Amino acid sequence: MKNQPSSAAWENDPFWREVVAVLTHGQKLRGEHYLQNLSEEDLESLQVALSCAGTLAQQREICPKRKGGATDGSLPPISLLSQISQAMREVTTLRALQRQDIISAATKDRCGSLGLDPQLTNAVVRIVGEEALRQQAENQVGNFAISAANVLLLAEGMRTKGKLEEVKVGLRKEKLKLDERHIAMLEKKAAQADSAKGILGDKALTEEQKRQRMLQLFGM
Amino acid sequence: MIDQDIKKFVLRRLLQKNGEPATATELKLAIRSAFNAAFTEGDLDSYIAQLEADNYLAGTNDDLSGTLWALTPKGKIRAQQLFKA
Repeated sequence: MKNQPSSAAWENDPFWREVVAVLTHGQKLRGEHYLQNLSEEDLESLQVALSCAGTLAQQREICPKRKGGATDGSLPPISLLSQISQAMREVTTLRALQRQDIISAATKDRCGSLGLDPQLTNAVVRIVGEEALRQQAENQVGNFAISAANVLLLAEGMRTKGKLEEVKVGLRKEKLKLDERHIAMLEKKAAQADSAKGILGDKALTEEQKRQRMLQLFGM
Repeated sequence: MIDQDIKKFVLRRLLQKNGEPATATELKLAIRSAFNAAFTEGDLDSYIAQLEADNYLAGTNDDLSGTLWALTPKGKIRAQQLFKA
């Protein structure tokens, strides 16, 4: 009966599993790879070494030495440390982003339970998230509220614009009604003028009859 | 080589979001955080454009947030293949 090969230390640590997945793009780690033979303590030392300030050459000096194989006891090459360092940075960034996602999801839930507009909530959460990332990328601390407030103002502006359009349409309708009434009055006056002209030109009527008809026509 | 790494990082980030889309700004800032290089906005836009051209990403427009990017089914499969941690 063959013994099962014991698993490498990196396989038991979620952080290092992710680092290896980034390094190998989801493939199997080669048996002779530097990380394969490092113990849990070595992995911790490596993480500390690569997090220290200084150049890769300086960090290399405090890294754990290779174990096993032809290069046993030698320090890892700088090119390999550069790859591991980059993979660690990617995993650290993704973990920070994951924390941010959890906070965003909780914020959206809370805003939803308060009955806030989901589209607006999403936009504000997104903007605040971007601001957090920007500050992280630029290693700065700034005011989150400014960007979020801009989004709220933009949304409020859009809403106000919509309301303004509604009022404008209402006013246009009112004006149209007034115009229709004005035209009807003008038509009535034109008809009265025609009738008056007919009465005045009618030679069969006496002056008194004409006066009576005119008073009747204008409702006096 | 770094170009490929960046594109893979974007796939991984979107896979991590479980179908939730991300703005181009968010993706570009994430790249800036994860990679220690001096990128221009054009460089970063081109990574997203290349991933879209390869049919790994698809964008949709949102009134308040601009274009939102998410993995296509092809992109999701590719990302899952790449990162079986």
